[in-house]
This record gives sequence, C-alpha cells and structure tokens, in this order.
Amino acid sequence: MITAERLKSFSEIDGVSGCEEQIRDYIISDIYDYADEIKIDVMGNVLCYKKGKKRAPNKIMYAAHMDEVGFYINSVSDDGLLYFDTIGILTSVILGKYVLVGKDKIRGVIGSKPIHLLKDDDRSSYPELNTLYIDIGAKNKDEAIRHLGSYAVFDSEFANIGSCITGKAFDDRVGCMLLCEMIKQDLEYDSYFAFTVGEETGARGASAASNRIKPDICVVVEGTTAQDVAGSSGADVVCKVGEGATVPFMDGGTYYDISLYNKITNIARNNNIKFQTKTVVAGGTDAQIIQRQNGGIRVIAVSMPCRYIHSGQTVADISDAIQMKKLLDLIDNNLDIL
Amino acid sequence: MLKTLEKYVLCQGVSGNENAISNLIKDDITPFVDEIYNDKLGNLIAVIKSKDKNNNKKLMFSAHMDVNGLVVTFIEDNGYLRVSNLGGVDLYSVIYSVCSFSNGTKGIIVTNEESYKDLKARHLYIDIGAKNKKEAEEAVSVGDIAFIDSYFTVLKNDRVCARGLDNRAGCFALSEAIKSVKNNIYDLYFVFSVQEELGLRGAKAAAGAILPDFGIAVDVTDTGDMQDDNKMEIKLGNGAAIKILDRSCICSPIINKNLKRICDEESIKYQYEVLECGGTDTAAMQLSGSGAMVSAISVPTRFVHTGVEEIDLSDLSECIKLITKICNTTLE
Repeated sequence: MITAERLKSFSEIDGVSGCEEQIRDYIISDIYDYADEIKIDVMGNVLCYKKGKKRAPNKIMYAAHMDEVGFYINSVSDDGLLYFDTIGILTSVILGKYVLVGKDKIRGVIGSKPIHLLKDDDRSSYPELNTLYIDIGAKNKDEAIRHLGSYAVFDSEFANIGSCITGKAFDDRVGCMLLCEMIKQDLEYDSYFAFTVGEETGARGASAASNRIKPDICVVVEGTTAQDVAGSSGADVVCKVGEGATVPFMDGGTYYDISLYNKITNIARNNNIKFQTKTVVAGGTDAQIIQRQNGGIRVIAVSMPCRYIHSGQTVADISDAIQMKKLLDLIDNNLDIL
Repeated sequence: MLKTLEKYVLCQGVSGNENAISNLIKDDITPFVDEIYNDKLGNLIAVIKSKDKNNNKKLMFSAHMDVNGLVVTFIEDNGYLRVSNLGGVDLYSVIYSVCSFSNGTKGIIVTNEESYKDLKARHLYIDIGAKNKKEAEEAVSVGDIAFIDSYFTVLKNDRVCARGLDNRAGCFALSEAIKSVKNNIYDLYFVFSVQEELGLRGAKAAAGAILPDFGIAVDVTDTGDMQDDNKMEIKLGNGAAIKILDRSCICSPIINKNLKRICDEESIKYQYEVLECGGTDTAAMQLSGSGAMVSAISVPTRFVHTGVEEIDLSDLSECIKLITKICNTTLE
C-alpha cells in the first residue's frame, strides 16, 4: 500500500550518505520474506532478485537510493560547538534548524554569527559554511568531542498539510518504499532491485550495483525538484506537485533512452496515469552512472515531484507516489515490449 | 570524396538521437568489416579481427557521431518553444538561424536583446510560426530535438565549411580508413560513439565493454590561424594533428612516438596538438578497465561549434592515410 504513513516510516530513519546501515536494516526486514534473493555488496548496496510469473525477455533492474542528504561533524571548537560539512544541502536552508547528531540522536540547533555582527556583504542568503555550527548546549570541547566524525540529520516532523505531506528524505525514501512494495507483490516478470548507497555524493553505489546485476534496462525511482512555487512560472517550474509521476527525457546527468521514454509515456497515456515531464534540464540521478556500465544500460527515471527537495521539510503529494506505483506496475506488465 | 563527406555532414544526428547517422555509416562500411552492431546506447561498433593467431591485443578507434543541438523543454502560451542545449552549442552562433524537427517542421531560433551580454539556453526561443500553444503542440512536443540547419559550402584551396564537421569529418576519416585496412596486427574495434557532446558518455560505455589495450580517438581540433588571439600551433593545411593533450587527457608518449614514426616513414604531413580546453573520447578509452595507452588524430578545424566550421581537405586526407597505416603497424 502506498500511503503517507508508509512514507513516514521510511523517511524517519537515519541514513546519511556513508552511514546507511539503519535504513538498510529496515528495508531488509521489510522485504525479507518476499524477495527470492537478497545480497549486500561491498559498497553496502542491497541487491534483490524476485521471481515473476514469467521469465523476463529483458533483464530489468529497478533502482532507488537509500541515502539522504545530511551533515558530518568535521571539527569541535573549544566552546563545544560542532562545525560541519554538508552533503547535498545548501547553507541557505539550514539556519536555525533542529538537527539530530549521531545514533544517539543528540539534539542541536544550527547557529551562526548573530545578524547584528555581520558586515553588509555577509548578509547574503548563502552563509559561508565555516561560519555555521551545531549548538548542542555543550559547555566546552570535552562535552562535545565524542561527536567528531558523526553524521547529523534534520530533526524534521512528518505532517499532513492540506492535500500535501511534509517531512525529510522523501528523496529517495519514496523510491525505497515503491521498490519494497513491488518486491512484496506478485510480479509479472523476473526482476532485480537495487537499493543503492551514496547517490547524494555522486552516484557512488550505483556502478557497483549495476555491474553486479548487469541489467539490460534500469528504471531509477527517485524524488525530483518541483519549482511550482512563488516566483516561478512557465518553463522554470520543472514539474508540479500533485500533477503525477515525473518521467524526464533528460536531466543534468543523463539523456534517457528515447525508446523507453516514448514507450513508457505512451503506456501512461493509454492507461490514464497522471504523469508529466521535466521542463528544465537539471539535477541528476543514479542513471548517469548506470547508463555507461557494462557496455551500456538503457535507463529511464520515474520520479516524485518534491518542493524544497534537499531541505529539512520537503513538500509533496502522496497521490503522485500512487501514480508512480501504477506506472511501475505497468512497466512490469509490459516488459516484453520495452 | 566530397559527395560522401557532404552526406555525412548533413545527416541528422544530435546527441542521444544518432539513428540516422549510424545507419548511414553502417551502410557505408559493412562490406569491409567482419562484424558490425549497435550496442545498447546506440554506439556503432565495427570489428576487424587480426589474422595473426598469436595476437591478443585490442586497438579501439573512437569517432563520435553526434553533433550538438537543442531540445524542446516547454511550450509557451504564445506558441514559442523554450529549449535546453544538448552539448556545447555556441549559443551566439545559433541565434537568428533556421532549425528543423524530424517531422519536417521548421523554426527560427531567436532571443531578446537584453540577453546578448550573457546568453544562456534559457534565453532562447524557437518560433515555428505558431499563433498559440495549441497550434504549436500540433507540430512539436516537449522532448523533440531541434537540428540546427547546416549548409555545406566549398571555399578556395580545397577548403570546405559546414556546421557538423565536428565530428562528421572525423567519422568520415575513420570510415575511409576502414575501407583500406589490410593485415592488421591487433583486433580492431571501430566505435562510432554516441553522446560525446554530453560528456563522452557513449565512449565510456563502449570502452568499458571492449577494454582496449590501445585507443585512438578521431575528432577535430581548434586552430591558431584565425583572427583572434588563440595561441595554437595548429594551422589549416599543415597536416593531420597528433594530440599531445587536451583538457581531459594526456596522451601516451609511446603511442605518439609511433605515430611520428609512421608519418616520417610514409611521408604523411603532421602537426602536434595541444588543446587548452575541451575533451574527447580519448579520455574515455584511457580510463577504461585498468587503463589503455591512448592518443588522438584530429582534423584541424576553424570556428568549432559554429555554423561555418572550416577544414582543409588535404588535412583530412592525411588523417585518413595516418589512420590506415596505424592499423598495420605496432604501437608498442
């Protein structure tokens, strides 16, 4: 079932790039009784095989990444402040936010130099990373030093707002959720599934996963940026929350397989699936690495529109995920013509 | 020679959509090779095995088939099309030019004056003459490719110019060489690659599958004999360019030593290329598997990525001669 509750469960688990253990364990426990084969490779990717009713004419791999954007503590000051590096996050969206540091989930606030001490040209919307820190209320370095090297995640709240939902890590826990749903149902064709690590640091798990499985076709299931917000119009919108599954023909990292794009959008049209494409060539997915592995792999992406995508509170519409699932089921049913 | 070169140049084939040029090249070279196929990304791969049973080495050639172009990303209410670039389009060279879509629709690429100072793809519009969005949607869709029209023009002194000589000149040179291959020492893999303009994407996949020992890219390079201040030794008419390095790759001195030897032995005119910008399939082959020894042969070209890319046919001939001779010599 594709529900807001399910996405909440997936999104609330910690899994910053490089520390995906907890989300990996959650996924494995979710699909354990349903997958025919589950392997963890040396990178930490979870690779699964599920038998379908029929032998597949094309070897297909569905891929979603387990990691989320986050922070790493890279130094601790004498007064107990935690300085950090970001993974996939702009400094403009984090001031004043709550974060949770490490497995113990120590709460902290992201602070910076007080505004009345900033020079005029410092008062930009993109504060310098080295002026920001996490304040966990420690009195001195001794109280805070054990957090050196820890990850930190946004301490976000999952909530229903209007017809939308908000929370962290929809990119790409929505993909993880959809892949788990597919593994737990009866599939038409034998299929492979890859839950990858390190996408937010440059699709690092994807090459190992796709070289291990060596698919002919890969469907990347992702979250993508929606700019249907104030100040954007027309071509700048990219895609819209609530307007269905997003199937891009191209993004900043990949020119998707044209025949897959045409066939899959036709299937969507003929089956009344709500879908859209991206109006700006931007962003990237695991597909940019997967496409060139093993002599070439035909790739396509099916994505959920997400406003404020790499922030602590993404806004999306669960109905888009439902359309994505319907489309993925149709891809499974129609594998013989892809 | 000129007629075939013109066919190569005018054939449609923007990055990601290389079917037409792939078929043209396939028809041209199939009788001369042992095996020919397209891989999953559309790379055209032709193989000529070595007759030497003791050989176990592979020499891969790579010439990219794709040219850069524009893709439709959005249709405005007033019927204008918004676009993004596929590859390094010289945006200033496409404004007020004519473009075509594969269904025959024609368009003109326009912009507004304020954007001139810092022209970006999002400042371009294509006018297909449609009065509104509905009319435009009947002719084109989001995702359609706009091919910028090319005109093949013959100039004095055996020089020709056209949009698309990067890299149809390279493809043509490779095809012509294939037709003369005899007694090759190594197994030869001739790859006409896809999506090079998007970042060597086709060649990375192909080289990753072939895992060559040696790699030679066939592409174009800039020259230093134009009006501007470009400090390069390369001049039109001074022969085939042997690549020392570009932004993506430092070529193997051992391969280049052998290329020089071949040129000296066979009286082939050559010059050395040091390119301060740009990347080619050379890098994709060099980094494949556990690495390959690579270099590149380039056709000197003025005004790369504009509508009037200019080459000297004598340089093209020298390139063809050099590629042919490489096929039956050792590179170690």
